[in-house]
Amino acid sequence: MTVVLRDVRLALGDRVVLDAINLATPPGRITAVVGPNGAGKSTLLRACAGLIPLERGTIAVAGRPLGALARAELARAIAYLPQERAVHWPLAARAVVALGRLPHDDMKPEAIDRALAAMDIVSLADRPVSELSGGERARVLVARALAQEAPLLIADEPTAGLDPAHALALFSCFQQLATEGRTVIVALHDLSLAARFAHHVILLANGRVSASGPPRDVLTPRNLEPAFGVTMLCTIVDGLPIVAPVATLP
Amino acid sequence: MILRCALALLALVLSPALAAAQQAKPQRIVSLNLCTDILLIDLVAPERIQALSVNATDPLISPVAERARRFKRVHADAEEVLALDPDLVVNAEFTSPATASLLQRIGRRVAEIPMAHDIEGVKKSIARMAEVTGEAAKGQAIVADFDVHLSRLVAGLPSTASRPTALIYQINGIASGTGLLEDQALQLAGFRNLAPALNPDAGGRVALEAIVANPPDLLALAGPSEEYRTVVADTLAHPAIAAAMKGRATIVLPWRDWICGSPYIVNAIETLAKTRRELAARRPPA
Amino acid sequence: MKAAQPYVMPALAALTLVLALASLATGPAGMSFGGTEQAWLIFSEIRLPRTLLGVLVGAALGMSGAALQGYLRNPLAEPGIIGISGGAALGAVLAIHTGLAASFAIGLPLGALAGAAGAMAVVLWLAGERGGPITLILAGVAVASLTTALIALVLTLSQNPFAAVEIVYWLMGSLGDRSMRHVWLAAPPILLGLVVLSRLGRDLNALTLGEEVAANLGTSLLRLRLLVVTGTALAVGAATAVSGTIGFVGLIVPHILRPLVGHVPSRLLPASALGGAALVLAADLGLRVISPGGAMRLGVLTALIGTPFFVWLVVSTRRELAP
Repeated sequence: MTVVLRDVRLALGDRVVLDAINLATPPGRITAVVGPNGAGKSTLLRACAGLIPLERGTIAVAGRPLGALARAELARAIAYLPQERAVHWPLAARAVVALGRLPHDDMKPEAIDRALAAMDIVSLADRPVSELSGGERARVLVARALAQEAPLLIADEPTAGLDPAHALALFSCFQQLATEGRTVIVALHDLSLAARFAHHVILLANGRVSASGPPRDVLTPRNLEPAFGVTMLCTIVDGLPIVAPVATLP
Repeated sequence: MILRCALALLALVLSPALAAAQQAKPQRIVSLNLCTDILLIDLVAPERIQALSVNATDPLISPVAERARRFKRVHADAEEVLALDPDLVVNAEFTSPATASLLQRIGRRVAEIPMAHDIEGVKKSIARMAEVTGEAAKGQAIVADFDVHLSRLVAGLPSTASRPTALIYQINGIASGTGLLEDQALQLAGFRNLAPALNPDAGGRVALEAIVANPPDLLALAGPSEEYRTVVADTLAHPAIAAAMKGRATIVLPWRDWICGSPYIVNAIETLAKTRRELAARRPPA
Repeated sequence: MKAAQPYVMPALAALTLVLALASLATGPAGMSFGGTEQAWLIFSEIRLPRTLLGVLVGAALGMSGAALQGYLRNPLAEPGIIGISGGAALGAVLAIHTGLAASFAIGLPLGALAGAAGAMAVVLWLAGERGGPITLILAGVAVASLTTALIALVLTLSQNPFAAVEIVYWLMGSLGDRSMRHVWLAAPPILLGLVVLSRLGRDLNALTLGEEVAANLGTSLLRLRLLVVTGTALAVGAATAVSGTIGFVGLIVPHILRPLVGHVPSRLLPASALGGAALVLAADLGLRVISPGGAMRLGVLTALIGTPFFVWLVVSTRRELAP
């Protein structure tokens, strides 16, 4: 499912958050959106999920503009995972995951079980989320998005609070989704993970696209240092790309 | 000749005293309470009344509503009262105590009139009001008329061994109990007050169910509920009461006639006596 | 935590039925159903309306409490506390004292409905889009205080010698001495309100994960707000119009039942309707046993039970509620 943004401009209140955004995310691929705090990553993801109106420009999903999709269609097409990890009532983990089936108005147990297994929380299924650790709760919420079985998954910082093992597991899950033909758009702070797992990277800075393309083209010191204001070490160790911040620029 | 001179001399000597006695009658009277309004308006000339209470013109509770319209009206508020510069303030005993004591402390003359709970009390209230307003003679006349009117009303009432029962039903489910003026009115008219038999609580409330289970021969509603202009009067029109009283007598006994221990209780007694005779006519002789 | 216990709904239904039967059998005139005309009169014109109103009012307050808590994601939300009952009472008082209620048969519940909807709109506006749970409660308290003061003002200005009695009537509700007329007046809007609120289950479930995820899952937040306001106004408005303000039912019932339905908002809605009916019936029964004359009012009893409950709830959820 291709997501194409044309000339997108978005303001929140008086502040212009995104401007002159033109990009296309390839279908069946993992696209990482990176950039410093305040660059507009979360806003871009929300816009792609159809949650905020645009001031200018269009966003089209699989060729159809977001505005043309009925609410129910949109819910089945896009699964959105926000940064906020709110669960207002202490539901059991399984019940939270089951909420992902709401757009389909069914309780397909296979979808729920598959999601639980993919995030390694089968043993936690009957425990209330209020009793789980931060990382376990995060995995429950990802499982909810997986249970939606939507062709497009948009996730905002899904690895925040996850230990390395589970962060890796999450990305291998995303890779599995990509192999199945689904599109994944992920906002990340961990540039090494982006370098390793993303097929396509978008670097946002000050609400504009600073660079976009395959990781080896985008995640270079020449692109990253002006955007982040730090010197970067970009190297490959044992075949794995490492992108690490070194020191703040004067 | 000497006699005429002596009489003239006597008149001369006594006249200042007479004049003083004339001036001792209060000329600027303010009434703080509905009950004193009613007594006052029948006792003194209108020019001597400075103001009546705000309730005096409410037709629901005041039997002198029409006549009271011409007078200024005042709340039981010391400042408002003082602005009228009264030489006598009349108040019902045990009401607005703060206002009354404040006015007294400032040096105004305040007369507390006792409220009546029975016929004798009505006569005492009239007498007391007459005394403080300097109309003792007029007061006696009113009491005498009252007595005459009363005895005429209850004369020739059918006397049967078993009196029919009656209930005076007010808003909020309260039924007039014993020891009240309206209770005595019932008895004078030949009824027996059913309220004590219906298990009233401390506040005088009687359960709706109790009335339906044991309906009185006469139900006297304290005023038709529409006149009350309040939702709490809905109980007066409850369908269960209407149904329970089918085949029995229901009358309206306007609250204004017995809310205060005033001579207007005769209106209530007149209505009750009339109903008593009607009931006796309907029933076979006991 | 176990999933929803399957016995919850049948148990609540049975409890409500038993309490309803007990309510029909309780009263100052005793239980003698000797088939006399008077016994039938007491049953059909006094006890039946009282019982039916207990069920209707209880269900309205219980379900709207559950709906409000689900919508506002706030366990302290309740029609009384956030000023909706107060708005309804104010609307009713205005309808009566402007003569509207006398001109139209449905003038009274209409006024109460408008008052309830208005109060809710004001609270939502005051609390703002992103208002936290404490902000909401504060906005509700402000509206509740304002409506109480306005009720007293209107009644005082009405120059009615019974103003004080009527103020008590509205602020501390009661089911006593009602007739079937009240039942016919209140039943249609309450039932309609319950139907509207019961359609919100899916969206309230989605809201568990926040507004953005709920929108992603297909919830129209605007439609949800509209339905919550409409359903609550209908149910609470009509209930308050015939019984005065009865508080805390919508607070206590959802809180007690929530663990029993696995904390799932959609399951809590019908359960709270039955639970509310049961609670009001039980409280009203208790009242009739303690003070048969009717001096003690239902609103006073629910406030006596509800206020300490509310305090305990605030204390025990203090951490989660910190804005």
